[in-house]
Amino acid sequence: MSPANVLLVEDDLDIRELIHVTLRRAGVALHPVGSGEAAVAHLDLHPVDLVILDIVLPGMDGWGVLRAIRSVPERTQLPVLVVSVLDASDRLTDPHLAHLPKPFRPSELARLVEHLLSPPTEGPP
Amino acid sequence: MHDIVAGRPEEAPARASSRSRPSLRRLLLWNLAFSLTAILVAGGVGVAGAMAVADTSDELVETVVPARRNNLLMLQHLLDAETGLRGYLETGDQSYLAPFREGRRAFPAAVADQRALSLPAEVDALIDTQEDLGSRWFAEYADPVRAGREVEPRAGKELFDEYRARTEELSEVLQVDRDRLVERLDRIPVVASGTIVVVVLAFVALTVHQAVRTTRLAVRPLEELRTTVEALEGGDRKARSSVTAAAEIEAVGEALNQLADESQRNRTETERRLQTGRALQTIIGRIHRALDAGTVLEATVADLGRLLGVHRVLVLTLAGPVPRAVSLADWSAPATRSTADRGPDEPDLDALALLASEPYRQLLENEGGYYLDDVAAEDLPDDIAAVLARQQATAVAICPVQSGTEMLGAILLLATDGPRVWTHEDQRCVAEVANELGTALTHARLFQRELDMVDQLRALDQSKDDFVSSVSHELRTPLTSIVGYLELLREGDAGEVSEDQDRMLAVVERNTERLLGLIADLLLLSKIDSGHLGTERHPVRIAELIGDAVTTVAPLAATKDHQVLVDADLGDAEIEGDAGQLEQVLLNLLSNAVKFTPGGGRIGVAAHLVGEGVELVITDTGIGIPDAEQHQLFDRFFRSSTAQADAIPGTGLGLAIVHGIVERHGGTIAIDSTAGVGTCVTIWLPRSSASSDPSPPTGTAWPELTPAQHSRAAR
Repeated sequence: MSPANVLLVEDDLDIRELIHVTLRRAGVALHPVGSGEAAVAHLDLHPVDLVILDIVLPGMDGWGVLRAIRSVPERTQLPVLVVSVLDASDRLTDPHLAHLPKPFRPSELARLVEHLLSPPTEGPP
Repeated sequence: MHDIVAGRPEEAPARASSRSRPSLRRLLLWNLAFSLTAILVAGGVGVAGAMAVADTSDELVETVVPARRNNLLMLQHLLDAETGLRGYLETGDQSYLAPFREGRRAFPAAVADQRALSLPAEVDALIDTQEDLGSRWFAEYADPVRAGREVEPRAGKELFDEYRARTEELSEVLQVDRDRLVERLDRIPVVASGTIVVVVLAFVALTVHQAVRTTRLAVRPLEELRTTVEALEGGDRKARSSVTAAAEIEAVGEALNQLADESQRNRTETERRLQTGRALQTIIGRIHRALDAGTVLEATVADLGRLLGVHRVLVLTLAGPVPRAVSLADWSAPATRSTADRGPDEPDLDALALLASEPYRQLLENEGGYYLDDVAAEDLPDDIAAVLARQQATAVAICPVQSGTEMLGAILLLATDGPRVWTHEDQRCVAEVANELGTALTHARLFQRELDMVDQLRALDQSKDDFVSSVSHELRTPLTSIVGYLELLREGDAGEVSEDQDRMLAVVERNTERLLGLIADLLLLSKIDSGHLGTERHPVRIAELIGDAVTTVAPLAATKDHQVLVDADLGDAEIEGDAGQLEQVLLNLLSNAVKFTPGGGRIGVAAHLVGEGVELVITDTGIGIPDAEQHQLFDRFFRSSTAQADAIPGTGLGLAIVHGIVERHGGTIAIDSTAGVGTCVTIWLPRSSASSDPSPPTGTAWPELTPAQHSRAAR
């Protein structure tokens, strides 16, 4: 079984590295990008199993990326984990959306990612 | 003015006609004279009648009746004498002579009595005859017989019969007299009454005539006057007296008419003033209400223009020593608007400003404006005359609009249809509007300044909120790396960590938590302040809430050997609210209690149903807050002097947050504290809070981390 493909959209290199280190043991293939535009381009070319999405980004922000994801019918159920300092609570009507506020504990991130990748998804814990 | 002129000519004919009419005085004098004459005449007739009756009855009683009695007495005396004499002659008894002698003595006395009465001559003649016959009977018959002399008895009898006959005759004469007198007595009252009746009737007729005259000349006109007065009183302003009457009454009518005319003029004048006053009030009212200068000005100048009936009203602001006018409002009467070309008016503004520039400015400032009734008649400087000519102005009024002593501008009124008199009333109107306008413009200016300031403050507040928000977020980004790598380090992701190293990392982690708590508090407060904090409304079981909070605080309390006593008898009681926020309230208060109580203290949590809500009381035996500082308790970043002295860490945001959340739940909070003894915080929360929160519930499944939750998660 090939490792799950996880797209990480995060502009802060330190946090990108932190997430990378955290998810290394989870056995996922992490594809980090630093902007919303790059994320959308990546998604159009490579199917992924999960998107870890920062909201505050240069250029297109996380919400723009989310709209781009959902605008394609095949991606309406793609799990997205929003990891942000912003209050994302009012966007959480989407059942395939989870939110982890920054700062987060790495163990919590690992648990959430594992949960979101395990089929069938029954919503957030 | 027209009325006054019209009133005069009516007086002359009225006066002329009044001369031909009897005066009321004469009328009344006539009435009096008639009445007096009637009384005198009737009285005279009565008195005359009465005197006649008295005379007649006197004659009857004093003459006729005594005469008749004397006549009979005389006969009686003779009869007595004759009877006595006959008795003596037949019996010879001397005693019969006594009546005879009595008769002989009494007869002359009776005759004397009869003569004493004043009787008519014919009666006196008869009496003479009687006396003669009686005397002869005594002398020629009785005395001789008594003396025993032989006398022819027939001679005595003849004399006696003759006497009797005369007595009869006199008696008849007297009877006739009596009847005549009695008849007269009967007739006098009839004649007197008749006369009185005739006199009375005559005077009644005269009186009726006079009454009719009086009625026609006095009573009816008076009634008419009264009707006119009542009509005037009743509001019929056109009612006027038109009486034809006694001179005085006509004069009164005239006076009444003049009064009514005068009153009508006064009323018209008063009404006009009232109307002006009302219109002025409307204008002033509008000025007062409107703080926005632009909206009020157009309406005001239009009202003023219509009120005073001028053709153009301008409000100019004057700027600089060489006045340049800016038209704030410009109104033209509709009639002139159609004919006058308004286009060229605009360049005239500066020209018009001349009217308010030196030296006229002095006039405006010192005299409160100037009013030219007739521009053509004024000896105006050329420049002014030219300006007014261009405006075709025939009458001009200029009144300064001032704020205190500062001249803001001027109201300019132009009339173009010939000279007009600017009455005191007009001037008062303009001055009052100018005055109010000055005040309003000042207010509007101040109000605008206030609005600007409010806007600035609002913007400042917004930027503060934005700043706090973005700083909080920006701080969280680097903290994410710190928190993340700390955990990785402590969990050995980067290799074995020695005990010392771990202790040091724990210190870093604890302070990171503090920093995060502070950021979360700041953000929460900022949300409470800006009203962006969403408050959910769900049933929250109080007992559960208290249990959770106490459990959360228990480890911390244990480190300081505090006793935590819970006294809650609420059962399943619930309140409507946001569980997360309510828990934070409890946690903030409990952690405060723990923090500010020296080791081995007592922390109490009591909860009871009070009224339509729940009362939570959190007590401690801590250091307390000095009285002087208690009013600052809910201020953010407030830290009591006692807390600072004891170097107890804290941000000073906890109570402010508690206060904000309790308020959002419609509850109340009170703090009772004594320095060195302890603190008691009492919170009351309504069981079902009518939501004071305008934002809708968000129904989040992942509520943003609050400091409390965060610290719990970190533990």
